[in-house]
Amino acid sequence: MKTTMTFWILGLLWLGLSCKKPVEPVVPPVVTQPPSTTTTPPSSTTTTPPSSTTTTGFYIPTPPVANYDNVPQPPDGCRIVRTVYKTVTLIPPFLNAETVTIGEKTAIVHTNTITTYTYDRQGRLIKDRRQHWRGQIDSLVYKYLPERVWMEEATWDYASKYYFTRTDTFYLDNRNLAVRITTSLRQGIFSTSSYNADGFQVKYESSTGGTVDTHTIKDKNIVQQSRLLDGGFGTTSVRLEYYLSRSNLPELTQFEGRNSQNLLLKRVLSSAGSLFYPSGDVFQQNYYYEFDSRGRVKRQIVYSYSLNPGWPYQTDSGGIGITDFEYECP
Amino acid sequence: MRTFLFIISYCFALTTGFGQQLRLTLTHPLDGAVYQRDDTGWGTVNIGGTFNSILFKNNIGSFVRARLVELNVSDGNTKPGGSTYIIPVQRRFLGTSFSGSIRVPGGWYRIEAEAVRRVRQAGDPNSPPQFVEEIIETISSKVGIGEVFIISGQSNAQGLPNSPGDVNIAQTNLDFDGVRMQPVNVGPNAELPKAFYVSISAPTASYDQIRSDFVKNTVRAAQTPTNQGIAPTGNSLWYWSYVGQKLAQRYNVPIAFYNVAFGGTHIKAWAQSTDNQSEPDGAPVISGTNRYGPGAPYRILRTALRLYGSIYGVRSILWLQGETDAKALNEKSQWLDRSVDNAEDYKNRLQRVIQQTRTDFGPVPWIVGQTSIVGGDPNVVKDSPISLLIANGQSLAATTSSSNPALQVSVSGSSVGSQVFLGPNMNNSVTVRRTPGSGYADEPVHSAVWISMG
Repeated sequence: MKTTMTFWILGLLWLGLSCKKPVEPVVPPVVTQPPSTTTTPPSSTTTTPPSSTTTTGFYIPTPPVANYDNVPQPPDGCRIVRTVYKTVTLIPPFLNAETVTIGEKTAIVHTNTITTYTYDRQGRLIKDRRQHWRGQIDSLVYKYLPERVWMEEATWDYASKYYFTRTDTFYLDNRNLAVRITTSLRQGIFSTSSYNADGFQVKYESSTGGTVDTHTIKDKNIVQQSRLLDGGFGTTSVRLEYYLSRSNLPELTQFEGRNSQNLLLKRVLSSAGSLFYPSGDVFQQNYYYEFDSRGRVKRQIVYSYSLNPGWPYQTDSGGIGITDFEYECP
Repeated sequence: MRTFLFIISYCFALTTGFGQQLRLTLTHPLDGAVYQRDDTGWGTVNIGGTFNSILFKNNIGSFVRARLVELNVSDGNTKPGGSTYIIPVQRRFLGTSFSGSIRVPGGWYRIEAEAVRRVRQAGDPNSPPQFVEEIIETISSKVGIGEVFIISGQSNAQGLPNSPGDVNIAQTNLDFDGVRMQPVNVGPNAELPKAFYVSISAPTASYDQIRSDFVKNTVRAAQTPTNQGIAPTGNSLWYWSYVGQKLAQRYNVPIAFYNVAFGGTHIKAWAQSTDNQSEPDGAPVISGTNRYGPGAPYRILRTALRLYGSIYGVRSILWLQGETDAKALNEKSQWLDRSVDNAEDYKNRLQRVIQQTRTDFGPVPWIVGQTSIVGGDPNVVKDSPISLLIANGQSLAATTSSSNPALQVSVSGSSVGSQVFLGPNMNNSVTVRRTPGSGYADEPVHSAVWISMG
């Protein structure tokens, strides 16, 4: 009997001291603890591929590296006559589905906008017609007059019976660059532009003072675009990087200043002084290209993503934008 | 035989929780939670929790009891002469969880819950057993039956960062116990600006975090540290803590706020994003395409209604938005696809948003404030045609709602009108403005307009 008692006591002590219950705790998390500044990262961070980087727990993909050194240079004098823009589509109809993989991202894109460009004998753009996937059509018609250009925009949508027109007038300087722009939308409001010696636009300002753009040019490339919006928006700047051994896509218009001479590879948006948006780098776009046998850009792929979850905007739906180009060449 | 006894003792220990500390826990309501009172001024407090006692589980001489003690709304202390309500507590059959429910008048209360064990008192073995109650653990938390508001619109409602009771906004004593708001602290990393823990374009990504954070961090306004906001997107306490204090004083009930306003948004984006797949144009902060994510910014209002509103109820959505629309009208070219055509256009779009909240949540009332002055531009000052146009659109959204069949509300089969009310006009009652310069918009900020809505 005494042995049995001893066994019971020792057994229970052993259980209590060294053999805790191997089950879930009965008590759920306490709900009344004070505010905490450290919280569990979102589950998305646990699925981050090893090749990607994370900053403060936010997923940032690693862009693939492009090398176009072996692609022949495109011929001079080509003009873009048609583009087909495809992106991730959320609202039907879903036209011409295509699966695209960029680095670690795969997406199904559909045709979004087909744009046709028409030029006059002098090679000036006279019509830009955009047909959107849901039926809306935008038409921009350019009329070139001495010392000014008229741009008439018309938008109509058969489904919603929406119709809209406006006319902007670009007043040109002696280099045929627009230095003052007025719009039919509102009398008394205009904007002004100024250019550097190479014909690059370096400043744009609305007469209200509400919008001020400044551009920084380096080696005939626009390397930074900044826009100051009043009313609390602050300054949003874009840093641009180029593939310096390849020429840019053909220019569509000339009167609003020259385009960068090289092919765009990257745009990084940063925000400063805003009441609404986070400061620092907030968004990035990486550009990739496919070329035809003559070295012309056949396809441009833009892969974009936020660098800060507080940035509320995107450029291409789902972070993927694809543009296919067609040309006419001399 | 010994082996058999050992197995028996092992199983006994497993099932009794031998050696485990007894703990009483309230899983709900969350500490400081405020529930919307109903039209009678009363509301129901539901409590739930656990007591991990095997005796409680098996209903052997152990139980949980709870009561509500009425508090001062101002300081949270026991109200002299206040009421105490016993909450009937039911134990879940053969479980360690319990629940209780009681309907009480609007007010601020302390839940006092006790885990109790009945202990047999030593005495004459020939007499009936005598028991005394031994309190094992007592816990308490606060709960309110009061008024719950969801703030929406743009920055003038969202608040500026680092402005907890900004001296330019509301010089007031913030230590008012019955004003409650969940701090914006739902993100993964404290280094990020508080307001941006919840992405306006993808608020559902943080849905679980919003939920869990609310569990942990419901605190009164005075306890929120500097740069703490009002979940899910409020940048700071702004003037809302002051508004809450005044409302609490007037009605003697606790007040709670949630904030889904987002700076720089325009009414077209709000209306368009009621379609959850649409991607409205954002502010033209840079040339080229710049759009909100699918369903933003409305998506975060929907999320708040479904998350907070479904749990706590909502007295009203407080709408304050329009400065960006005035700016868009003024700038025109850069804001081409963002600006409204006229006051009627603003009205239609706002009523579209109101209608969608009724679809997503139910007949939630709206109070539409008027605001449209943008700092620094002579075209958008007080009484300028543009500011008047936008303010008129806001007014029309409320005053014409009674003739909009889509906005009519019925309660128990009886029509109660549109439940869209016009808030005061901030453009006309400006006594305090945002600080000009340093990127701050010189716009009217005036908490009294909301206070007067009562």
